[in-house]
Amino acid sequence: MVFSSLTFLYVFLPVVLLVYWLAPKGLKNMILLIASLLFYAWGEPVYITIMLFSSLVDYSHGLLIEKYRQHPWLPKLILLSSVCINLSILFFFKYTDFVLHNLNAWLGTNLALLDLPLPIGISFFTFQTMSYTIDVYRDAVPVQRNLINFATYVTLFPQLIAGPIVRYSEVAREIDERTISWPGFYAGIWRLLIGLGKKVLLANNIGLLWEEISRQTSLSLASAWLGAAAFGLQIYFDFSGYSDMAIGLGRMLGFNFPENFNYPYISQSITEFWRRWHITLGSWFRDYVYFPLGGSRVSGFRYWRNLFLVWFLTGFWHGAAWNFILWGLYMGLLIAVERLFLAKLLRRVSRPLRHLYVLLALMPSWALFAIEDLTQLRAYLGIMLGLGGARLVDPVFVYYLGNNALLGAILLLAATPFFAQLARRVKPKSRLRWLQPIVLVIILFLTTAYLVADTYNPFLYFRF
Amino acid sequence: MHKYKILTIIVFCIALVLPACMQLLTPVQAFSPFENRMLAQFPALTVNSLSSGRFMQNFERFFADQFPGRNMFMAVKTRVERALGKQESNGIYFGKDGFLLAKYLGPEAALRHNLEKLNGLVQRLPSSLRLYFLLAPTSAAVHADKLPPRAPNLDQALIYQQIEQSLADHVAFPDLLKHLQAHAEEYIYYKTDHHWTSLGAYYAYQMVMDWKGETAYGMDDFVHEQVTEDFYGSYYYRVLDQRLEPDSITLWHPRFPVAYALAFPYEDYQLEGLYDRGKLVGNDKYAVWLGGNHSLAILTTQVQNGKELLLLKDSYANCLIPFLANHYETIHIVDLRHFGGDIVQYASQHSISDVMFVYGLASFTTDPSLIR
Repeated sequence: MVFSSLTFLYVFLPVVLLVYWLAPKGLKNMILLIASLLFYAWGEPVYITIMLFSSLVDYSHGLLIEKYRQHPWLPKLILLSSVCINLSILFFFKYTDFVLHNLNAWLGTNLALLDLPLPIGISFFTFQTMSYTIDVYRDAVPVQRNLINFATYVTLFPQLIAGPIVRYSEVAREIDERTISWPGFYAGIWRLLIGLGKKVLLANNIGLLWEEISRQTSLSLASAWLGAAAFGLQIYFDFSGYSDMAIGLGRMLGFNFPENFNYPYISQSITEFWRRWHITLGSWFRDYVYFPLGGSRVSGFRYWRNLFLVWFLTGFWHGAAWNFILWGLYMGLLIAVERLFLAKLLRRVSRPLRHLYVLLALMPSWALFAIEDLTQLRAYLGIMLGLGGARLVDPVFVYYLGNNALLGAILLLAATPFFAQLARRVKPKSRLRWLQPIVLVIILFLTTAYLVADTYNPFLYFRF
Repeated sequence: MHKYKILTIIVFCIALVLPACMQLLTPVQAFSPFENRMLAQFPALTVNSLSSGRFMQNFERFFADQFPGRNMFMAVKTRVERALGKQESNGIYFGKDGFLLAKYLGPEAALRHNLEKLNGLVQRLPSSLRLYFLLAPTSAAVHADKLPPRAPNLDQALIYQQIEQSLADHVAFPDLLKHLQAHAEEYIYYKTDHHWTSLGAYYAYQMVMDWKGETAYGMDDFVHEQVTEDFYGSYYYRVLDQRLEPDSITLWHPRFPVAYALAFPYEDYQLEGLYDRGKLVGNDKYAVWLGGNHSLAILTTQVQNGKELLLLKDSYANCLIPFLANHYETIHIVDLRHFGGDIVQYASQHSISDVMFVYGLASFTTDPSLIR
C-alpha cells in the first residue's frame, strides 16, 4: 500500500489509529506489527515472508552476539553471518538479473534471468536490520529480547517502503516505551498533510511535464533542461513528501523518526546538498561503510578509494542499472572536485553564483537518474550539452513553460524555507491560528480530488 | 493545548472517517452518467485473488469509483488545473472556441500490427474486389488552428504517408486529411467528442464516391434534422469541465424515396430504420446511429444495382452508413473487434463487390485489438 492512496487514507489509517489508541499499552506493538504486515501484504502478499525472515535472522543474531559477547571471535562471526544473509537477500532479489544481464551481454552467454519483481522497500529494511546487528556488535544499543518488539521495528509501516532509514538505535527506546500524546498527534497530522500535498499536488503534477518531455523524439536544448528540472523537482517533492508522511505518521503513533530532507535545493555546494538530501542514507553509508574504511583520515589511494566506493554504492543502492552507478559516481566526482579545489574557489565567489553552480551541476545528474536506457541517456545528455546540433529553443518549449509557469513558481518557492518561515511569523496568540483547521481541510480536499480523479500517481521507489 | 489545536485534531478525525461511513451508508452505484462508464464493484474475495494481489487492486478501484462526492471531486480537479493555467488535462487540450482536442502523441506498435493484419486480409480476399481504406484524422489535425498556441501536435500527414507506403497496392487510400482540412471552417467535427459530424462524414462520402467514379448525392438531396443540442462526447468525459458548451447532432434523411432494413444476426436487437432514437435521452448519444457498434449488422436497401459492400469498421463509419446505404443493395457491417468468425470465409459466402475499411486514425495507430 502507498500513503498517497484513498484506501490508505480513508480505510487503513482511521481503523489502525482507532484500534491503536484504544488498545492497552501492552498490546500496542502487537497491533502495530499486524497493521504493518497488512500494509505490506496489501501490495506484496507473498514477499511478506522475506521481511519476517529478515526480522528473525537479525533478532536471533542479536541475541547470539549478546550471549557470546566474551568470546574472542564468535561475535565477529555472528555479525558476519547476519551481514551476509542480509546482503544476500538484497543481492538475490535486486542485483541478480543485473549481473546475469551483463554477463550475457559481455560473454555472449544465454543465462536465464530470474525476472522476479523486486520486494518493495527491500533496500530500506535490509539496511535497517543490518544497522541493528552492527550496533549490537559495537555495543552501541541494548539487545532486543522481545521478538514482537523487534519485528515491530523492522516492519513499522510508516517508514517501511520509502524511508527514512530509521536505525534501531534511533527508536530503540521508543519501541519499548513511548509516550503517545495529543500534541504529538497534532504535530503528526500537519506533517502528514504537508507530505501528502507535496506528493499528490506538487510532485505528481510536475512529474507529468517530465513524462511528456522524456517521450519527445526531437528535443530542443531548452526543453531538455526544462525536463531535467521538472524531474529534479518531482523527485524532491515526491521523496521528501514521503519522508514527511512517514515522520508525521510516526509522530501520530508516538515515534520520533530522524529528518531526511532539509531544503537541499538551497545548498551552496554539492557537499552541502548531500548533507540536506536523503540524510539518513548518507549517514548510514558514512557510519557503516565510510568510517570503518578509515573515512578521510587515510592518505593517498585509500582516501580516494573510500570516497568513490561510497558513491558507487550510493548510486547502486538506488537501482540495479548502470545509470544509477553513473549517477552516484558523478556525485562522487563533484564532491572530489570540491574537496580538491572547488570549495576554496566557491568561498570566494558571491552567493548567487554558488547557488547557480549547484543547480547547474544537479541538472545533468537528474537526467542520469531518470533515464535508464544508456543510448537514450547519452542522446539526452548530448542535447543538454548542446552537442549534436539540436535546436536551442522550440515552440513546444514555450508551450511547456507557459503551461507550467504558475506551478513552477509555487514549486520553487516550496523548495525553499519560504512557507515554513511564513507560518512561523504567525504569532502564538494571533487569531490567524484559527485558519489552521481550514488550511488542513483545503489540503485534504484538494489531495482527495486529485486521488479520486485517478490521475498520474507513480511510485518512484520500486527500484530502490 | 490551545483550542485551535484541539479543533484541528477533531476536524482531521472527522474528515478521515467521513468518506468510508458515507460509502457504507449509500448503495453501490453500477453506472456513472457523469463519466459515462460502468463503475467498479466490490471484488470477489478468494484465496487466489488475495495471494495474487488482484483483490487489493480491484478493491482500490472499487473504493475510488464509489467514493462519495466523486463527481464533485473530479470537477474540482479540472477547476484547479485550469486555475493553474494548464491548457490540457488528461490528454485533452482546452482549445479555442470551446473545442476539446485530443493530444495525439504519434503511432505505437499497434500501427504496424494493424497494417499487417489489414494487408493480410486484403491478400486473402479475391482480387476481383474493389478495396477502399478511409482513415478519419483526429479533430486536432483538422482544426489545428483551434489548438492552444504552440501546443505539441504531431503532423498526421506523416501517418498518411507511412500508411500509403505500406498499404497493399490495390487498396484505394484517399487523403481524407487534406480533404477535410479544406472544410475546416465548417462544423465537421464535434467539439466535445472524437467523432466527425454528419457533415464531416458527408465530405468523406463525397470523396470516396469520387474515387469510385460515381456521383454522390448533393447536400440538398437530404433533409437535415437536428435531433439534440445537448450532446457531450468522449473528450468531455475525460476532462469533465462543466462550463463547456454541448454539441448538437444532425441526422440527414434522403429526400428521394428509399427504405432500409437492418438485421443483427448475433444479437437480440431490432431497429426500425437506421436510428435508435432512444439513445438520444442517454449519455451515449452518438449511438443514435445503428444503436452503436455491433459485431455484425446486415443492411438491405431498396437500391437495385446488384452491389454488395463489406464494411470493416469502427464507430467512425456509423454516421457514414446513411450515405453509403443509397449506393448498395446490401451492406455487411462488421466490427472486427467483436466479430468471432473468419471474415474472408464470410465474404466468400456472399456476393461482395466492394470492401471498405473505415477507421479513426487514433485507434488505428494505437489500438492493437482493432483488426483480429
